[in-house]
Amino acid sequence: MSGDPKRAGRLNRINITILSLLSLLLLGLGAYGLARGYGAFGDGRRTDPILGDDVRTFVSRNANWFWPVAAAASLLVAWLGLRWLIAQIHSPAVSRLRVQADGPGSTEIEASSATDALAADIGAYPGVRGARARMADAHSSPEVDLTLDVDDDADLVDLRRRVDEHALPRFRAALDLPKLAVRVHLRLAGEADRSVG
Amino acid sequence: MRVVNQVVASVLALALLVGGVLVAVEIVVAGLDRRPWVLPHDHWYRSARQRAWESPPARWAFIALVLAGLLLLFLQAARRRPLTLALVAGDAPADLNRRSLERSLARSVSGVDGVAGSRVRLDDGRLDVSATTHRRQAGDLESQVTGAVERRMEPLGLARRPAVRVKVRTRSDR
Repeated sequence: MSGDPKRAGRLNRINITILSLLSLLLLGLGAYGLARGYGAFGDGRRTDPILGDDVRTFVSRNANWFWPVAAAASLLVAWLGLRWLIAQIHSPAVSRLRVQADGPGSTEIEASSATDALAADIGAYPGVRGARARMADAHSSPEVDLTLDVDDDADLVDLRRRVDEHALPRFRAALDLPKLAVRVHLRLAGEADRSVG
Repeated sequence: MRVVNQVVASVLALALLVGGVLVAVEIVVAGLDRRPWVLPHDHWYRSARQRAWESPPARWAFIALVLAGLLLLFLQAARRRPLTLALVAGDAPADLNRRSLERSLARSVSGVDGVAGSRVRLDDGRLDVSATTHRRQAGDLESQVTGAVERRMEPLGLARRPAVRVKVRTRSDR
């Protein structure tokens, strides 16, 4: 599962929606087949072949468009399957960040070097055992996900105030991105817990 | 449950991807009057023409579909505990990992004099704490545990403090 709770929650909702639809489709098909096989639509229809003449006739009459459409629909299903599969493993990260430049042209920096500096800055705060920051792509605008492992007895309110008033203003000023969104994910770590840093 | 769902989703997504490509390829191969490439659709076609809806193999296949659908639906209906708890608003929105909070609270409870073991579970805005003691009588242990939990949560800055319910099991309860 992803380390970013927001992304994990969104992926979870997508999975629930698609799997619920698939389960209803399977239930519907199975229930229809059983109902028909037990004569719910008339005794005569339960002895019909599964692939009836009406379907065969329809397909053979419309073979000129039916098979191309079926092939296209199959490829569409495959593409949707690919998108769904990628969503399970892919995390939309920003690798380069464009920053303001005085002259013509533009300046880009490695997003990871900026986030590593932020993590190192906050990682030195008392009570912080480990810090990790990554630049995520949130609806086409960058957003920083900051994950902090903190001591069990750390004062979280004080720690967040330091992050809000010290680390983030410096970080945003360095990148010249005053509105850069940041999300903080905190984990309380006991003696034996592993840190993220 | 989320991990199970993600594994199921990955398997089904892969099945849709492979199945979709194979069907498209088989349609093209059949259009060229070639024999089936991977999927034995000529065999499936004959079988579907010969077997009736009431035939045992068809019934078993439909039963399998219903069971798979029910299993999948059950998985989706299962309740999931939140991954995180929101903290009070600040410049940067923040949340606290639910599992780490449960462990931290369990450590605090275990630190109460007389508590031999503890288990903490946070669900639906309620915090269930179960503590065990070697004592025969719980005495004021329940209120001490409640106090330890409340004191631990105080400096966290949770946006919504869960209601605490403590249960202490003594030696005589076991």
